[in-house]
Amino acid sequence: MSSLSRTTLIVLTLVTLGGCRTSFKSEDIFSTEQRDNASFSVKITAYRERRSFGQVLGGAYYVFEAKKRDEPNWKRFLVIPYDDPEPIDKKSITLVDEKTGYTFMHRKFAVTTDAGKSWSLWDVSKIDALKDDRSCWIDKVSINENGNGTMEVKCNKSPSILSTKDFGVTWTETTRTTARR
Amino acid sequence: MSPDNPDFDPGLPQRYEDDIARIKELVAEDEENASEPAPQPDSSTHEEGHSLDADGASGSGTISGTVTDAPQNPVDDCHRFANIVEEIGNNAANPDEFIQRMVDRFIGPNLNVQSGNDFERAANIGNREFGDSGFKSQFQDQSNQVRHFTGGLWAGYRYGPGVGQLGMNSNEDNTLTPGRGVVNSGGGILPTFWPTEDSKADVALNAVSIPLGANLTPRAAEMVDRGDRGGWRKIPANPGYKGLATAIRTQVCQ
Repeated sequence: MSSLSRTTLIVLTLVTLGGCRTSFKSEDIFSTEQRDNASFSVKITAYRERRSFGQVLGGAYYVFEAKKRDEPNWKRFLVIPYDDPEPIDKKSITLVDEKTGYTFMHRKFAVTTDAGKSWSLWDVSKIDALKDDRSCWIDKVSINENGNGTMEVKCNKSPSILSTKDFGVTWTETTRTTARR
Repeated sequence: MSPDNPDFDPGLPQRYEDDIARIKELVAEDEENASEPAPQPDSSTHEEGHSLDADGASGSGTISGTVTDAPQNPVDDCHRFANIVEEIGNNAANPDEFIQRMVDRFIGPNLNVQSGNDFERAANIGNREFGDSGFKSQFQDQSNQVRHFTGGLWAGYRYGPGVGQLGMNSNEDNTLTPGRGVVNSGGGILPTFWPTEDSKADVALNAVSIPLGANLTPRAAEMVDRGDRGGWRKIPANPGYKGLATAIRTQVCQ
């Protein structure tokens, strides 16, 4: 067997054996945000990324979890990786009422209407006009108890305002201004 | 050169005579250039620089002597970064001091660049001082690319272009296997050739920053014997860390 074939085989074996999901350890937590009401809780936990080279340059994983108030275990519904380990924005979680709550970070948004049992996930790329602009990030979200709401999306070129009538399960673009952020 | 010339050595083959003549011409050119007064730095537009002749994405990191324009948009993150790098370069006495100051300023304090252990143990909380504005679009990913560039610079300086690039790329995602790390990334090879959409900007930035880091040591112009191929080759001067700010403006910034 040539040295090239041997090297290729070793690399493929290692890759096959090593292919596993990221694990999160409590000692890597550097920021948390949690909101509770009488029926359910939502929590975001920021974990430092474990690196095999240059740990100091590591990013972070933001893990989103929810649970019924009387349940002991958290149920994970979203993980967002990011290159910079930044603290969690305090406005990332909002509980509208005893059944409805939403959370957002970067380009992703999630909403529950059954007290955290199930979550509807949404991404800025679902808007055709924004899907190719990777600079577009969710800046602010406001949803009322009737399910109507607005989302402000900031982009390098021009910000957008989206609206929803179903608690944020679907969003449509309503305004695009020319101001730069 | 004729036999009447007292320096003429009749024992030399014709091609060496040509080579010697060419070297004398090049040395004369260099001396002429060196005798010209150095351009004075302009506080409002920053001093003259050297543009990289790096080969695009692969980023050879070598630097030639072309004068470039001052930054067009000093407000954005990339040009602000370049301006600070220029200031650090002007005040650093050698590449070691330069890279230490770069790491202190853009990654975090109390990290000894000579100690790989410091970089493997430490973990700093990021801040929003810099983002990716003003970076070329292929380097933009909405994160702090100033920090990432400095990390690549450190990796190139400490480990050289090969190991530095594979090490840095091992922390990126690829489209063939899940997860990051030396094992999952095939020693950094897989993300180098098949980066995910989210890792493309970082892999592209590594391809520029790491070779630049490996070339931070200034080097004078020199003539090198081509050996069996015959003749001589001129290697241009490399201003090293003193030319990094201009390299950033030309290679990294829009």
